Amino acid sequence: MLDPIIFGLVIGSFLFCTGLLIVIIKKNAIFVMIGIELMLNGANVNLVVFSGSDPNIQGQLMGIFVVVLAAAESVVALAIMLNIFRHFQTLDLNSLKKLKY
Amino acid sequence: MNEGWMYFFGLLIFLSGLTLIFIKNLIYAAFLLALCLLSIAGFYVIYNANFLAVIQILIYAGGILILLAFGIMLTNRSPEGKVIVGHHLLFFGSLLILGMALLIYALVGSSTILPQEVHQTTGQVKEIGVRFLTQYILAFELIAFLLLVVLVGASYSGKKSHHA
Repeated sequence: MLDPIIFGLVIGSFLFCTGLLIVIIKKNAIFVMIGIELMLNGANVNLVVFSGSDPNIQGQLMGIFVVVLAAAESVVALAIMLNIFRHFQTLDLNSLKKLKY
Repeated sequence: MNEGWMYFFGLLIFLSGLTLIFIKNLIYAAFLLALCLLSIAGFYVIYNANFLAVIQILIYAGGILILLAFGIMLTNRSPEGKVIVGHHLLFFGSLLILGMALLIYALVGSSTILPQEVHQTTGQVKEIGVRFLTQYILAFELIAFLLLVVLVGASYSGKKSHHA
């Protein structure tokens, strides 16, 4: 039987590594955003696991801030992606090479 | 501490994360992300973070996922209705992640500050509310201001630009 703390840390680091791999290997900008969400969730799982033995629940408070920041980030990223799609008619990351249009 | 549920949610997170790497259909990926986020919420309940679990379901599974589906439908138009996303940099990406996983393993294995045990905390919502309005009041107000800025910025940059 695995220690629940170790198991939680393993799940958190697995989520982080999976998110980073998705950010690197996927070609679509929205898929990259899915990877970023997974990375944020991995960090959050770590915070919650460490806050389980803390009577001051500081990890959970940090986790709530992380969730709010993730929501803000995804809103702005989607607005930017809509603008990019309007200009270039694609979200393929290999064909988005121009900084200036 | 319910060990069965812990392994159940851990397995769900593991399977959905692993499938997210290999799947190519973007719509299916969004639904898999929903499964992953809901299982993470269950995982939070096991580690006594009930309020954060509710927040996770409300904001992630309810808000961000709808936003993602909205973005997929608005940007990737294809006549047959499928959005297929390919891979690139597979070899170097896997190599980098392998190194990253080894690094995390070494760090966790050698650290001495691991938490001892999970214990039950009650009255969490009251505790969180009191702390938000006393100890973390600056961060709380700053994040409220950030949400206002994001609202204005997203609605400004999302509208059709006039000079294009």
